[in-house]
Amino acid sequence: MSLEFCALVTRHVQHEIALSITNTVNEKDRLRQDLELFGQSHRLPAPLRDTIDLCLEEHLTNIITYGYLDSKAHAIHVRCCISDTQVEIEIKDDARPFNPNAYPVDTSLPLHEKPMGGVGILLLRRLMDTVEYHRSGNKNIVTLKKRISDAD
Amino acid sequence: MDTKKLTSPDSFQIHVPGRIDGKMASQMEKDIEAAIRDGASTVLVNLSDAVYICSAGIRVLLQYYRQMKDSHKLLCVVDPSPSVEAILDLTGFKELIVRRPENT
Repeated sequence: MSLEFCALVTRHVQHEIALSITNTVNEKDRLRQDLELFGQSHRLPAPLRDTIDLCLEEHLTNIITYGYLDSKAHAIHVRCCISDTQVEIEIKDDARPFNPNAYPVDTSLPLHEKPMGGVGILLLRRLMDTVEYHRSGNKNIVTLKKRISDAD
Repeated sequence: MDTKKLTSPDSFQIHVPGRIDGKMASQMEKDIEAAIRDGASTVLVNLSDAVYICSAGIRVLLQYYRQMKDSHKLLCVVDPSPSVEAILDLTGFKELIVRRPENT
């Protein structure tokens, strides 16, 4: 007796890159350049690449500037996945626990009363479709997702 | 980035193109400080060719807006690109933009 089965497999095209840097401004900028080239090579529209670059600049700067209490080198791992419909970027670091969704931000204050801090987190939350956070062991894991739309 | 004096001797325009990330924000700050040292009572930050402005850049603008305001002077953003204007709007900093009079 033979077992026959038929499977219909729908393949979605995905492209992925994984990069690791240490917690310095120069390394951050190098990673941004690498991701820009990756996005160009996969024909992401320029406005979307700009948005991704800005959000990475904000999040990585926050990690590097505020995440560590020592002066040691720390690794930051970034994985970017481009599918037909969205870009997903996962950033993993061993900095102090920080959930960007939990930071209070108020945009209603007039210019002379606005605090200097929090604008980067606000940009991240408003420019990305989703910002997910979880803590795993001693790691912060932030996942940014942005749909690829015809308007980009 | 280029800085030039406008028609009046104490009015400066600083043109900042491209992606205004942390490094560009530092350079923009140096140019603003130089204009103030040179006697500017008005500093117009022209962002017509800027692709985006990061939070560090916005902080620079806010810091020097406040500093100049305290001295009864003016720093403002003029001619922002649509993407920069959108960023300033969604972060609550659209007040930094001043629409230029047509004869400027």
